[in-house]
Amino acid sequence: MAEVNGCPVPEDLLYHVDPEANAFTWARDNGDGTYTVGLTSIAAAMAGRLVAYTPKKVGKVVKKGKSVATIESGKWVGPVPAPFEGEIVEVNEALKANPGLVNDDPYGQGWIVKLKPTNPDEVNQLLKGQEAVEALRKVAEEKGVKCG
Amino acid sequence: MVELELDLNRDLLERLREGFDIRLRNFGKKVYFHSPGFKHYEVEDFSVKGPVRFVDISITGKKCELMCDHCASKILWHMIPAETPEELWKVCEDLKAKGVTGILISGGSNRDGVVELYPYLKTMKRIKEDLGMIVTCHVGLVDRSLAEGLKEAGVDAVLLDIIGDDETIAKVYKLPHKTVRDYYISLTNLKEAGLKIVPHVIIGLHYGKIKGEFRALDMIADHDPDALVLVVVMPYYGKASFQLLPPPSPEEGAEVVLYARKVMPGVPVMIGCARPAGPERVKFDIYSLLAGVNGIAFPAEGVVTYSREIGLEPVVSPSCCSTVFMIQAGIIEP
Repeated sequence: MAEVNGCPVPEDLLYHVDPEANAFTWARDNGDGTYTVGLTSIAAAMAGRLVAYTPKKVGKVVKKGKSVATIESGKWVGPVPAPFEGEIVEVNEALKANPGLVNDDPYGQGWIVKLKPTNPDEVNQLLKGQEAVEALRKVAEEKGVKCG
Repeated sequence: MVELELDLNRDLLERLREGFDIRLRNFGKKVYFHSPGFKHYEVEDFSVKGPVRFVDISITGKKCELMCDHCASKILWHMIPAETPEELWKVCEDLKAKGVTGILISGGSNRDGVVELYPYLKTMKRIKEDLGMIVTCHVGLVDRSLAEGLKEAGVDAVLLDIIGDDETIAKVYKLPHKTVRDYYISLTNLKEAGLKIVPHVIIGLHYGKIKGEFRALDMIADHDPDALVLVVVMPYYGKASFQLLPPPSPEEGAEVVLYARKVMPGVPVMIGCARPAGPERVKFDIYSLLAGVNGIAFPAEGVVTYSREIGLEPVVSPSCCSTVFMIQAGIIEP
């Protein structure tokens, strides 16, 4: 697994990196037409320890860049932007009781929502592998983000 | 489009109407939504873009000698540290150069519940006079001498938390040698010095229960404040034992808001930035709007939209909500 300033970045995931939109998310193909979406460890470190997670409703179709959930820490409240347009098919109930899972396990138990894409082309535009690592490295260095 | 699906208490809504009528009668339809610069805040129907205008400064950094159960000094952590008068001046010069126009000066308390502002008073006066900044102070207990010093420094408003229960003062604030009377006298000292005052009441301060809130509001009402700020205790901020406690329900909180509206019909009543996150916050904000508050800092998602739906006219401000009386008077821009 790659690392950026101590922040893990798995190379087998897809990434949406757009600093203008505060978008630093990952997506994992579940093989059933849906994708699990979460915050990168870099985004989790930027936000700080989360204290609240308020997802949009299951069944809602969200355009790329629009919010799939609102997350809140002591210093940051904001949306998690959808990496592509899709229908929310599942939200992470465990996060409602323990939002800090996003910080503790951003690529595992701390996932945000599961999305069913409406336009596969948008999924194909997501960053992969080294390209994603470099985009996240640039963000982490510009914003002075470190993990650990 | 923001959709709200809320299970609101019908009986309570009926009673809140009295508060809403008071606000319409005395203040019209304007409602203020604040987003001061210490926190990035962005929800679907509310965010403030552009440079930061108002920030918080702590003269003790992250340190507080009281370490109250509900806070454990965490409220200071997001503030800019300035632990000497020289550092305060330098910080403010830098902030001014970056376009910041207003500051809140606060800090941790000593073991008598006092924020030791004396050494900073001359610098505060200089910040007012030479940099032209809005200067507010969040203080602890205030004697006559400190009140007069703050007046001499020319501060624009003094903020202080008022507690209406001796047991809460002893247990939560670790001040067994202080009583409600000390808070009452602090208000009196500030008013007699001719200062603008914006008292705060923390709803649920007594380990999540409502206890001294109504008495605190009566004490404040006796002093004709310039604005009132209501906040709700945030258990996850507190010490470990506090973190497990539920905060007051939105309905319990709304009762306090309604009471405040009724005993201070002509005073701007604001919901301040500290309150629990998540879905309960949406309910509390909606109840508060319906109880007739004048504004809310960091409104939950959907609340600004809802305010329009009930006929209010939102005004957005990047300043601290305690400055609302200056905005209403046209002294500063929203």
